[in-house]
Amino acid sequence: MLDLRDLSVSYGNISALKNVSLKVEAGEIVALIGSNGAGKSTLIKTCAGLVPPSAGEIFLNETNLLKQAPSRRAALGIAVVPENRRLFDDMSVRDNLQLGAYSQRAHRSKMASDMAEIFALFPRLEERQNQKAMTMSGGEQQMLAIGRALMSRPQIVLMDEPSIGLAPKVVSQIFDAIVQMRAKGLTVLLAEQNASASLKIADRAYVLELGRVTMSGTAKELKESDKVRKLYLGGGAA
Amino acid sequence: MTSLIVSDLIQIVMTTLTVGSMYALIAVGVSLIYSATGVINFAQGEFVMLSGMTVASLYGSMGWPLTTAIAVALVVVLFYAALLTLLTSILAARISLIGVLIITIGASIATQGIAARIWDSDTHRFAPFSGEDPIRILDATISPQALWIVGVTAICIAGLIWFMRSTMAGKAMRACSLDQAAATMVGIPVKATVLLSFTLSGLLGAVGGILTTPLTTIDANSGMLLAIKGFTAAMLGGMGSIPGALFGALLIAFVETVTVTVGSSAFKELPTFTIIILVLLFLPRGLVGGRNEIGLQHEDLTRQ
Repeated sequence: MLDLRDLSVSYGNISALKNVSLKVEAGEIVALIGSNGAGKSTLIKTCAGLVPPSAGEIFLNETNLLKQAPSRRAALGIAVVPENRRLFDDMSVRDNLQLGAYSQRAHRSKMASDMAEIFALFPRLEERQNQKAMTMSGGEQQMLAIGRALMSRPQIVLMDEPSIGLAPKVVSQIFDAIVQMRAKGLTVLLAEQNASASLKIADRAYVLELGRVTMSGTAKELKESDKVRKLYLGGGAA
Repeated sequence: MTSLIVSDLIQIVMTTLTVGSMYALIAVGVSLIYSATGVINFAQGEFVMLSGMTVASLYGSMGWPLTTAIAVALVVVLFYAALLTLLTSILAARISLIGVLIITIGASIATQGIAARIWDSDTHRFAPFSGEDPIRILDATISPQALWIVGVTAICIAGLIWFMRSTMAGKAMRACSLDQAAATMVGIPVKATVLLSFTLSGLLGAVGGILTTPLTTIDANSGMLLAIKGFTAAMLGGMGSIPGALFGALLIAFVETVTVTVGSSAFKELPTFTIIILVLLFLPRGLVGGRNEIGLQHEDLTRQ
């Protein structure tokens, strides 16, 4: 489904991604694990078209994404739950969801049923649909960011640290929702610092360190690897 | 004696509404373009000048039908708005926003020069839509054109607010002004939105020129002062807020009208320039406080 080939990105002289190759197959949840500054956000921003790569290619199915304008990519099936959520703060929950469907505005009739589905996934959003996005709690805002991404009827959702700053209970709610989304046929690339939570729901995972993929494998393999346990799962005591 | 005071009041209110409508059309336009691009467009008054001059020559001098003249004026202004969009977008990728702002001042001066060549430097006007006979209320006299100005402006601004709040295109414009990167991610084409904001601003300015020229006359150099008035009103209300721009425009028009009524018309421009200095110094977010950032900063997150 999503295929990154030898992708390199640099900001000026600083190289943020170095020859990263990564694949996400249809129906998978793939975790992208790494600490702050490892390049997770850069990878997602590059897929979204917000950062131009210096080398490499990105394919969505057969389409070369780098030849598509950033604003065309939502219509092609890529949705992003960005770092820090990036909601339209001053607008209502309902408006945020409607704008999520901007790329699908030709299919207006589907919007209401799509929104109902998101309300079923996150009932809190339905209760607060007329409230401004910025007045909600962090967890609710994260739900809205995911809901907004789903409104574009994506094939794949790229999530940038959906667990950041949230209480463990809220994190598990959100990760449950991700599992439910996958059950409905969605593909997910999940960039996370929270390795334990993301490896629990992921099928496969990549470890990103200083812009390079240093490990990859099934979630089970990575969970059992000494290095991952030591660096990302809080010590290898067990 | 009391009727004299009452008529003075009616006169002040009507003048405030008429002048305020003109300022509001410009202020809302300035605010729209600022929201979409972060640029203060000091060529905003040229929309007014171009439409007023076009109708004055086609309808006023050459005797074309009013509707045809208005249609041509709208086309001229839309073309000019597209040109300004192109100029500012090309430059915005290369220079700072302050640089682009200065370019809009340059564009305004160039437009004045070109207009003075195409037409001349004299003042122009054309016949009001509903004749010259003033309507009398007590001792106050109201030009029928003033009612046109207030009415059409009210419809335009109400329509714009509806557009921004209720249509997908309007919501997309607001989304772009709140967060361009997030807007891009949901598939909103930012460049098209910028063009739309210039187009709408241009149309508002054009409506202003067409409505007010019969009452206030127009010349090739009218635009800059109007742009400053609009900018002041938008800043006073809170840059980026449509109701704020409307409120700021009415407030400035009121202060101006009272100054002229009580004092002398020699002081007419004094309050605007006093207000702009005070607002920029002490109230950079304006009264309604449009944007969250203080002053004229605008973070463009699509650029790295």
